[in-house]
Amino acid sequence: MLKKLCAALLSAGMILAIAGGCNNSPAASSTSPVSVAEGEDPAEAVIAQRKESGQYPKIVMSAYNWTGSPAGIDRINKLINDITTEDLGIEFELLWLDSASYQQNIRMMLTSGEKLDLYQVSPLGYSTAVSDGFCYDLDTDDLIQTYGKGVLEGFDEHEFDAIRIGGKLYGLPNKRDLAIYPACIMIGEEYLDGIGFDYDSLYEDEYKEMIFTDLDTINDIFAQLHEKYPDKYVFSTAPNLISQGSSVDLIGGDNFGVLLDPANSLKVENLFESEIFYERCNMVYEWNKLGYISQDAISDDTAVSARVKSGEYMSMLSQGKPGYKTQISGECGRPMVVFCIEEEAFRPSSTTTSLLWCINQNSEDPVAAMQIYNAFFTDPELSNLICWGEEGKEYVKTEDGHITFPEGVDSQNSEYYNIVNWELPNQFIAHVWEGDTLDIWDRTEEFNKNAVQSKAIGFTFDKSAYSAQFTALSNVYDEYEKQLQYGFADPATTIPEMMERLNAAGLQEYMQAKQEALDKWAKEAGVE
Amino acid sequence: MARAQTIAVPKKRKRLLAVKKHLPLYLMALPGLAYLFINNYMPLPGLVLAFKNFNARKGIYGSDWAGLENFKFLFSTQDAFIITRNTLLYNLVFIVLNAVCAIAVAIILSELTHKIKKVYQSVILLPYMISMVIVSYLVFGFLSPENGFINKTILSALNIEPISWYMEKEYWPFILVFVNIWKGLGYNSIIYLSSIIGFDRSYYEAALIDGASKWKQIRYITLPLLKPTIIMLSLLAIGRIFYSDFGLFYQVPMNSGALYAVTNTIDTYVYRGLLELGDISLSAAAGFYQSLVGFVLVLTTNLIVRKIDPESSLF
Repeated sequence: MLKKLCAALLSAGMILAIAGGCNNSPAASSTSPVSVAEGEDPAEAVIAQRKESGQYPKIVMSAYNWTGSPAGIDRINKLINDITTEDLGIEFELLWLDSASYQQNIRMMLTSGEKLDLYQVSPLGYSTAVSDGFCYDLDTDDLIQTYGKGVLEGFDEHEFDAIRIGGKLYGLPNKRDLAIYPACIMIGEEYLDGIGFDYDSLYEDEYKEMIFTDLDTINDIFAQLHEKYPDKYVFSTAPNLISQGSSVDLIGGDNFGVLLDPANSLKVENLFESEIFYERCNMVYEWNKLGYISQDAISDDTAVSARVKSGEYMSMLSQGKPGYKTQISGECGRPMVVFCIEEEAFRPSSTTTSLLWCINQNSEDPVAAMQIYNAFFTDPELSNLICWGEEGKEYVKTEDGHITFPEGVDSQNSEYYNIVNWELPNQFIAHVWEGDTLDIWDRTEEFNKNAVQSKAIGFTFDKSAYSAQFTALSNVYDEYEKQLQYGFADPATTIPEMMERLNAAGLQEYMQAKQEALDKWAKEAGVE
Repeated sequence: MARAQTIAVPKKRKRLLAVKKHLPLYLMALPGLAYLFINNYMPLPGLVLAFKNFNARKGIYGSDWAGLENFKFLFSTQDAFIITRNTLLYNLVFIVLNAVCAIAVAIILSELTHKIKKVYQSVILLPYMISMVIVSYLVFGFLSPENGFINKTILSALNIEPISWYMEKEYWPFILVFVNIWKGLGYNSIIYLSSIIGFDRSYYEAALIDGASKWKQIRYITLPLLKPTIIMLSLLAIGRIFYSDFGLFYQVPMNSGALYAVTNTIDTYVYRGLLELGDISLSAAAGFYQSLVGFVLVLTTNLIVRKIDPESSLF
């Protein structure tokens, strides 16, 4: 009896589940085409039409932060909604999701047909999302040309070309820093004062943000720090010696086949046989031998800056940019001095496509989604709301034109305090927080433009045909990565050992595939 | 049921009676069945993903067929042997040692009559309730190269050089087996204990009169009576022999690369590989493969058991 009951239940369930999976009928756009009179802007026309009919489409936009939905989100959403309904005839909702689960949640929303129109694509990987069919083609019916004029005007044409995959535009760029000063070492000011090191006279720029120096000076400082503070660790490790610590271009977003001289050559080379890889690994290996690094480093996943904040560690390595001193001092909870051992700013290929926004392929109204993005990109009022919250509650203006916390509010109790403005459409038109100079965004534009540009900007590598090799290679590299990058293994013996296993796992084959893809891309994009 | 037959009621009515009689039992089973149904049966059609090139634009059923392409990545790498070996051998050791230890503890607990028995039971069960993440930090407390109990207290007292536990792979098979037994012991032994408590005490009384020692009672009464339970639990465990405890193999070694040769199992391999690739079809293929092998193993083992001892087989 029970058996029969079960069988009946189960078969019913299977049928239900199959039926449930099938009802993915394509949704029709709710902004219906409007007839446009000569000389009239279709973007204005659809807004007028929405208001006339009283049917306001709703757009859901999603981005990630470190803490999940902030307490004041409903209030901010209402304020934004008031503006978008008034200006565009579009209802709006912003979803902040925790970065830890963002990828899973967004994937779930995209596959299950849940309401989502506009999303930050980076945790999914832009090229993966495109090949999985999650992104709407923005050239469809001239969508971006008609409804995204502000965005189009905000960037050079070649920025958009760099985002195209197979000639089609699936992603929307945002305004942020695109270049890096590689290999910057941040040391707590108090510790430098402790050993009597005079950093103040070493600044060459008017902003006193960065000191350009060499590795010997750093080694010298580290030796003194170690002697003066034997109970603290000198250096907080992270596996970023190449990604942030060099101007090697990790094309395609992995370590297997890179451009060692990205400004001049499109030759895919082996990172692990390069001088720079050996040098960087050897640098931390020496530091480890001298006792600068915690013996627990390998199993410690705490963020680098959080370790410095704890007061147990005195320095760390990262990448520099205009305003970085303020940012990292905030993250480390103490004033930091930024030393750079490489002089030239560098723009790797990855930054172009690393923080794009996409319109959901299944969005009911791509027109409205495009208009929303355009509005956030061009309207300072909207950009301020999404970046900083409500004036008077989350921030107040200071006399010199900055903004800061109101009385009694701080980063802990603020109901909407973002530190992820770099992923939002346009932070450049929003206010500048106290601590940064008011011209920070002009300097950033300058910095982006003047940096040494990788020739491969715009190249993306579709790994899906090589997933077997990639998985095998990643597994081999994962075995050695931390030992090498945290200085626990002698690079002179460990790198050859790793190379042998990488070759056995198909490194050459993978690199060759990358080179072929790169050559093909270069030919199409007209890069010499 | 027996009584209903003798009264010779019509067949239909008989069935209804049976349902009515067992209604409370059915109701009690309902939440469990609902869970099983929602969690294990509803997603079954999704298995088709393993054979597709998933594309959200086309949906699950509309995506292009990929044949067996997705399964390739599990087998075409050099690591395939290592991860399969690790998964199978660890699980085999776990099945044997877990059973032996759990039975031993269950018998000891059953012989205890003192009130303190309950305390023992709870203390042994406690690790089972702890999340693997916390377990990994408990282990870290012992093994940390910088401040760990073993390096700082035991080894330094014995004048032995400290060991970088998270970089020396030869110790880890023992550490992992130990942690697994420690964590699962309480739960496993309770299942055996509950069967032992249910045994007819008159067997033991008779044995006592015949002068059988404690050891002989265990050897000739408890163990033979436990046999069906042991076989059933082992069968269930064998069905999962191709799945590894992700937390144990990923969290406890702190995901340390130097240890991969002895800690990489199918689950951790797939997780690491797909974390970066994010390919739904490949994950589905890996899951499908694991279920399939598990299913075949359960059937085969059951077949063998039925050949040897038909009474004990599961079905």
